Amino acid sequence: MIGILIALASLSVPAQILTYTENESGADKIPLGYPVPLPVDSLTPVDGFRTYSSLSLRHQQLTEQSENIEQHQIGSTVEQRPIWAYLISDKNDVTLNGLSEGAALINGTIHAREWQSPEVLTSHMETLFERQNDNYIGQFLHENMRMVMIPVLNVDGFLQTQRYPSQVTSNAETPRDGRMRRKNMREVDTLLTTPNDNQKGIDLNRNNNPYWATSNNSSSDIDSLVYHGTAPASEPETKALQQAAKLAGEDRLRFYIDTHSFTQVYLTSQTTNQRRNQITTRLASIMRAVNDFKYTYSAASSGSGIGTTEEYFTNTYDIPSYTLELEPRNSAQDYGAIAGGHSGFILPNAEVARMRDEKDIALLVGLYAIAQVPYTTGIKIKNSETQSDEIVLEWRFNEGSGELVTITTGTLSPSTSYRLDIIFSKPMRWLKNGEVVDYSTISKAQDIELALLARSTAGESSWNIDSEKGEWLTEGYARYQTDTFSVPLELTSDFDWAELTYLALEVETNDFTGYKLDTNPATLADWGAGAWVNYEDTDGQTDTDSGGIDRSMRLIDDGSELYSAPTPEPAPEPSPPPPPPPAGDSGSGGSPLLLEIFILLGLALIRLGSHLSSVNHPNNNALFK
Amino acid sequence: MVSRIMLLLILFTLVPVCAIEISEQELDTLQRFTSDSHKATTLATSSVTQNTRDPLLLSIWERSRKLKQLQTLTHPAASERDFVSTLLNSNEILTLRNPDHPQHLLTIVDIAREARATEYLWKVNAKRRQLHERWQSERWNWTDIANHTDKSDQAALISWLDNLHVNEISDVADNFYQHAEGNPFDSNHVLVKLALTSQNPALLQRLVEQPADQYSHMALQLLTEIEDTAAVSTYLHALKNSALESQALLMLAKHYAHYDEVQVTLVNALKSEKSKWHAAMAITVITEQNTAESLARHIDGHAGKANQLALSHLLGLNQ
Repeated sequence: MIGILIALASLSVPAQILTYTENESGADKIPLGYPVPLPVDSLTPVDGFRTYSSLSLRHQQLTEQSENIEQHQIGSTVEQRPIWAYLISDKNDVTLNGLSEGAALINGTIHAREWQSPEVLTSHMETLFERQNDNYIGQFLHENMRMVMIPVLNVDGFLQTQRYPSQVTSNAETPRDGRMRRKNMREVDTLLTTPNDNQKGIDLNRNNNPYWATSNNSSSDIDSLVYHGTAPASEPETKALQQAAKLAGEDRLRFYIDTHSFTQVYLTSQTTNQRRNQITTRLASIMRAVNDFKYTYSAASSGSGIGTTEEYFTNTYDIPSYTLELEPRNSAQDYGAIAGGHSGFILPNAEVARMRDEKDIALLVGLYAIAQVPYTTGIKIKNSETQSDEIVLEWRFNEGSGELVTITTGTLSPSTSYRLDIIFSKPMRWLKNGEVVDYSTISKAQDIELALLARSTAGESSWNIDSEKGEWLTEGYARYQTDTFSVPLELTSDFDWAELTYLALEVETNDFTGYKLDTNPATLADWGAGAWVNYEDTDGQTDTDSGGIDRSMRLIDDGSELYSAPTPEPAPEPSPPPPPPPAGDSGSGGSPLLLEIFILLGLALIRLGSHLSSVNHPNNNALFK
Repeated sequence: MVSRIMLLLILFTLVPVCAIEISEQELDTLQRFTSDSHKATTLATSSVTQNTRDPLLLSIWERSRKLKQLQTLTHPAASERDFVSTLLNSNEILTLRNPDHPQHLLTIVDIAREARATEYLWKVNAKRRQLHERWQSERWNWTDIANHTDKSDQAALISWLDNLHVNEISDVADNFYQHAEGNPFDSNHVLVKLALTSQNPALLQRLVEQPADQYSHMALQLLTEIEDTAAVSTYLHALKNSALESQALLMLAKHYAHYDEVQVTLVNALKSEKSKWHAAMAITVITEQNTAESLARHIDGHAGKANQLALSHLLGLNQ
């Protein structure tokens, strides 16, 4: 009866409108404790948020200014506005070594109120624009990846939030529409005062296969915040996102991020492909590391989902995919504000520029890691006195196959000063203010071991090269800063070139994200079936996704196999039985502390059980039926 | 050992449940019923209330409502102070499953946080009243006020400025201008408030000369609400501040392109290597035909890609 009365009463009553304020309190006010952000008309970044129209102008400006940025319409919204994607890459579709470029898709603003997202996406574009000729990671990405960005997918919804930057409807605890619109604008007008339509619209992040409408975390009620729509991909915005995958190149796609806010976490789903799962976790660590792990990571188990785009990309393309929830972790209270709960969607202006910078660099390192694994592309040995090249070897590539070519042939002598330059396929070290530094806890600044391995009729021998005396070049490099390691080389008196039948350079290193070398550049590593393909480790194994120690650079080639035949591993010795538990000091009664813990655990479980049952079974709850 | 276990048991039962996760239906019901507190009380005690958890939820909810009502007070009574004070260490929290992240809980009610917010807002209200009294009694000293660096001091000042009577704004602005000369400030917050409300040309000029922050950008966005001449003059002045340049160009093109002076500025900006792209993109927002025609006559379409883009937009409008 009460329910019917409430339902009748709500039929024609305009929604209550509440206003966000800085400090003013009152019945229809929600004080935040910081200035309520207003969208600003500026092409250049501001301390705060930009309007949709100026963000769009900015994207067009970058497109006009750079040959490497193209604008593509990937669809139209419910209200028939164009949805734009931006393809960022150099003009050819191949990497420097001739492989088809890998592709990445970065999506933004699926949920209208998450203003952090379009700012971060636009900042990604601005950063890639500024760094397109940086002779470092930016240029490397332009030359070796196809990056597709969708700054604003839910254009209609985003515009609705910007129409009412400080107003919401419904209530202060779970505000809807206006600044707090989440969904698209299906069956909604733009007026906040229209009765009964503020809650409508479709949650585009519940509108996706393969787990569409399979979970309690989406709803079939159009008024629900997580309404999944009438069918998978029923919405034009969802279809546009799928179209963007085609633009990126479905067969080349290897990375997806859907950028949301808030809770400060990388979310992902696992699949039955364990290699993909491990790579996904590793990539997340690489991206988190650059922000000092302030972002957490959470991987849902395989076989279920809630209808998100991340699940769609994970399961359709078998690639590392994430839902990135930007900051804050809890709410604007994280910045000392008085507002809690939903204030997390309203990042204070003062935090925006820092957040943009942090996430730009996190994306760059993620793309850098998935674009290509490292390998040696050549070596050059120069006589330090005469400055003449003694030996120059280079890998030359054709359609994914490599051949080691001798450019300059010569010999090495003992007690002669040389300089050895080893050139790699990508920037190898992390730079901070132009200096080579550690990359978080993942890699060290120097991190390289070198040796010459030799065979002669007398047997095998080796000469270590003191890599501590070498440096990663930030000037005089081959193509990118730090793609070259340069080290002095002087061979001892026992070295006799004429006696040798085999001489190879052994290189043990990794790129700054921790990926070791592809040990056989003759078969270039690529991405396929949810893992790396042809990424050989030290033993030539290609299913470890780890790389290893490279011995492919042969100064004297005896034609022997690159990898020695695997030696059978000795049978493991039976493990000793576990030691008996230490005897308690009260004999058979066990530890009293343990007993106390068991009692407490029992009580906690009982209490938790009753709490969960009341939450999970709302029908048991008389008042809240 | 038995006594230790008993002590643990007692302690465990005394500790209240910290966070209670509620369902959306429960929240909906709380929100509907407590819009009328009488109804809520009746319901809480009626025979309908059978679940043991309902009264607890309602009492937390009611406390949250009460705190929000109290936040507006300037002179809280002792009993009201006591009430809020007792809640400062409360661990009563209502949460809801976060729709974005089902493993995460969204805090809906946090009594301790709301109590702290209430005390903070009282402090702001009280300090605002003190500021008002100081102004009225001519005991005003900006340097003294600037030395108060507590967050609530700044909030009180802003709140006082927001609520100034229209007759007082000009005096306060003049007074502030005298203080501002030669005194750098960390934030443009106060300057923006006074410049916008008083439309004092000197303060507006000072505003765009300052290093830009979030307040400068918001001020430039709101300048359209003041008289055209003052707004255009301020935007033109803002072009000299590189952080504000793009915003100023865009606002000029969007709202004031019909003024000759603005058209000259846009054409000149197109000729500048540094500004040409911002000017070109700004020109693409012009939709008025007469303005487009007039502007197009002054743009050399062969002087680079930016000019070309701007001109083709303007000519397109005239077709």
